[in-house]
Amino acid sequence: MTISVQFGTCSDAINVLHKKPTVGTAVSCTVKDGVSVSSPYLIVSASAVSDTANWCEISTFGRKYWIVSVDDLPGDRKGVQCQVDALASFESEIANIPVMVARNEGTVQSYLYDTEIPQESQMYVDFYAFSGSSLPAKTYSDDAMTYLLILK
Amino acid sequence: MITLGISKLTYGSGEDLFEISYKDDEVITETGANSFMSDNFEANAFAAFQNKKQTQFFEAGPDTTYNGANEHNCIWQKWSSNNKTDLLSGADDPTGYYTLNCLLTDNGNGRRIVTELTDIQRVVWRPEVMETYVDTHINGTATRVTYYVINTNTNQHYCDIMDKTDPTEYTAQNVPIAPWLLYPQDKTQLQLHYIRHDVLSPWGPSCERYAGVRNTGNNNARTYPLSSALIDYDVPIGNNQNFGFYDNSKSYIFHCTLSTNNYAAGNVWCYICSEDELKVWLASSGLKFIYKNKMYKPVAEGNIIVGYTDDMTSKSDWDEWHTKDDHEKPDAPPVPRPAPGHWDDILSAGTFGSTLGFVNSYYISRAQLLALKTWMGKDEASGGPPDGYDMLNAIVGIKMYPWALASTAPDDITIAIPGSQSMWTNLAQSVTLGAILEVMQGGSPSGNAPTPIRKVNSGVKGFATKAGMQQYNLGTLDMRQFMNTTYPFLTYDATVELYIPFVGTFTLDTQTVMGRTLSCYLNLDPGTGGVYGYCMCNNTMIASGTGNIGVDVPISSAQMGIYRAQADTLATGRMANGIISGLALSAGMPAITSAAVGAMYDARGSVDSRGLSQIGFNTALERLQSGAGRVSTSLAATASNAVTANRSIRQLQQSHGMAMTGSTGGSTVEWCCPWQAYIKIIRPKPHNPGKNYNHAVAVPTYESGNLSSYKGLTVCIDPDVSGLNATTEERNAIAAIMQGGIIV
Repeated sequence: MTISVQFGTCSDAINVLHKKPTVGTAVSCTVKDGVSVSSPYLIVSASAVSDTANWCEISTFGRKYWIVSVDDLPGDRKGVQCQVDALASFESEIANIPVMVARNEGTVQSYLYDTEIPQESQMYVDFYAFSGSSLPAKTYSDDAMTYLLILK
Repeated sequence: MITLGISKLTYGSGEDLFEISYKDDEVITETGANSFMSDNFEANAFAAFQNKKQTQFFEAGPDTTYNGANEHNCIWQKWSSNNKTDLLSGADDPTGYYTLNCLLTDNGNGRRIVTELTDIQRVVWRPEVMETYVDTHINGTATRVTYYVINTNTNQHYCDIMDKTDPTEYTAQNVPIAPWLLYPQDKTQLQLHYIRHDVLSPWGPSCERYAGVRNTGNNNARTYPLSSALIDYDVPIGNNQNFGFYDNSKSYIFHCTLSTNNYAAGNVWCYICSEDELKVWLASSGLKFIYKNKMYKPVAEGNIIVGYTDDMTSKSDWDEWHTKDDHEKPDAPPVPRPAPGHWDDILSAGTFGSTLGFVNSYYISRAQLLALKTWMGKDEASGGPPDGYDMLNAIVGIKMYPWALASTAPDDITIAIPGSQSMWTNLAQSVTLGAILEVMQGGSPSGNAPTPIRKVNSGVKGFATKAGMQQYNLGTLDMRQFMNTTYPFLTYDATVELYIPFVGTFTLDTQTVMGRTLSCYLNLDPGTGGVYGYCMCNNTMIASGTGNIGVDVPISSAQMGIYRAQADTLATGRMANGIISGLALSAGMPAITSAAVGAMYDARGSVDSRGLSQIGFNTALERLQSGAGRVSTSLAATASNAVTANRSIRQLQQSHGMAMTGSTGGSTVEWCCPWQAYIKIIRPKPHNPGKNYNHAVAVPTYESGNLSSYKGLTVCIDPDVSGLNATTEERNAIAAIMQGGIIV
């Protein structure tokens, strides 16, 4: 069975949803009969895949894969063992999943206790002044004082 | 939808008769020509009416019957764009009140059916009803509710429902039309009013009301959904004779013509409810005016507004205020008064003010005080006060404040003195102290004619004092600024302390202030120098206290001696509280003892057993005791009314020849405190690791949403991946990553 594959590289971690791989042009490769869609073994010409490639995309299967291992095969060929990256393969669908979030890196939530983040032993003291006061600025100037003169 | 007592609707008679039977608002059967269900109903009905004239009517049911021309409850009237045309006569009838007590509703299938028929004013509209316009007329001829069923074309059909229970239908009335709706006299002073949004729908929270926009004179009504939150009253637009209430999209809730009869409204048009409902709504304090900078709420008796009051002391008066512009509460509502009366009364009822009491008071600067002192030291020939009179006697007291106080226009400082006769006149023979008093008061022990008291202009300008207390806004602090942080800022372990200048510090409940806005105020009573500071949070006072900023200035040498003694002990640190102010003296009391006089405290806070006798006051007290009647004194630890005390002192000194006036002075050390309110937050702090390398750290969120709405490391709880077009193995892998932490 012949399929079309694009080999490339991806430096994102495996748990990144929106990966940014770099892939080359499509090459033709052969797969064994009874190939696994989730972990196909690809046989390609040696020049089709670089030594640094760790990523490939198989449009026939509609999936994206990590390259697990590369075998040197006779006949100037290489055997590439791939493992599906489910996140990248279903990226847009996953992004639209309604979820219940327990923790989030970017959340601004001030009033939930966090037992995982350590609390510092020292207490912090902060002062915050009220704004918009109608009192005059503090001064000890004689000219600023007022005398209340009470006469009979 | 309400359908009251209607089970059958009949149209026409004879060959034109058809009936619609209803059950639970559903049309069951429909027979006869010119059916409502006909696509050509409108044209057919028009033609039918034109042909049938007044004989065409709808019988609304067993309770209402056609009974002559005055009960026009069943007449269809077609209303053109500008005028209502009486279908019966074909003539324009702009004031016609022909009624049709049915409502046409688009049933969603391109047809209109009669869905509602009632003989009362109250109708609950369903939102799915096509555009409708409700206009409740309350005028001199009849009470009715008009429903305007508006099509998208230019034809406007309206249904007018009569109140069959009103026996005065079509009867002109010469009484005030809406005496229950009073309004402030000068409508040009009306500024804004606030309506509580939660009382907007008194008919039930689930009721949707639609109001029609209707500029005066414009009968091409449109409808807009009624704002559920924001209502503003405004001076009527373009018509000085009417005023109305409308929502933020300029949809009228009701409007009315002004009358000149006791400022009761004339004709009232209510767009969203009946008259009774409007009465209830307005009388339930849903309506308030701001009029001449005061808030007024209605006074109601039996749901009839009989007047307005500015008594806004109830906390509920200030709950849930919303304005048109920003949903925020009005600025600084008055603090609830501790006693009946108005806030202005409290402010103006202070112990002090140039118009109160029998003393003259001025605010003067240091330069003016020095100028006055210079003048007092001159002899009469040099332009000073009359010779022989001790001007200190005219001074009741002097208080010093750290800043300028609000005052009125400048005024000449005049001093009232006895007549020009020297106090030493008639002392060729010895006189008793009583004689001297008599002379000083203008009398004469020898029978000479008394000399009048006159006023002498010092030539120094002062500022006459304003009556009442002076209030200062110490500012606000929005505690919400501490939200919107990644790590919790205020926790249950945090302590919040408030400092109010001249008053002190207070520990606040963290939960009370968290996420709210604090406002602090300081009230000053110039007459006593006392201040009252307090902090408001969500219209609730959360901290308050008193202090003193008025410092008495010693006038006489005896006073100065006491003052110096205080200063000396302050310097040596033996007195923690250097304030002695106010001497309340009364004759006939037990003899002065140091204990009776009051305690002095040393730096340790213990009573200084030496008492006043050690500081030079004893001599003066002894002199006081030698006169008629013994006295006792009490010393207040805080500021008291120096005016009252000084008068008593002065009386005694006149009878005993003492030259002591004024109180014993205060301390300016209290001015050294910060003049700005602030809060101090003591809190434990979650450790911020700084840069979150590799998106390793996430904080508790516990909320739901689409995954795409989150950024960074996101840990999900039991994600539902069943909808993915992936294999089971892939789904499991995705779910595992989402539960372990997916970086979005």
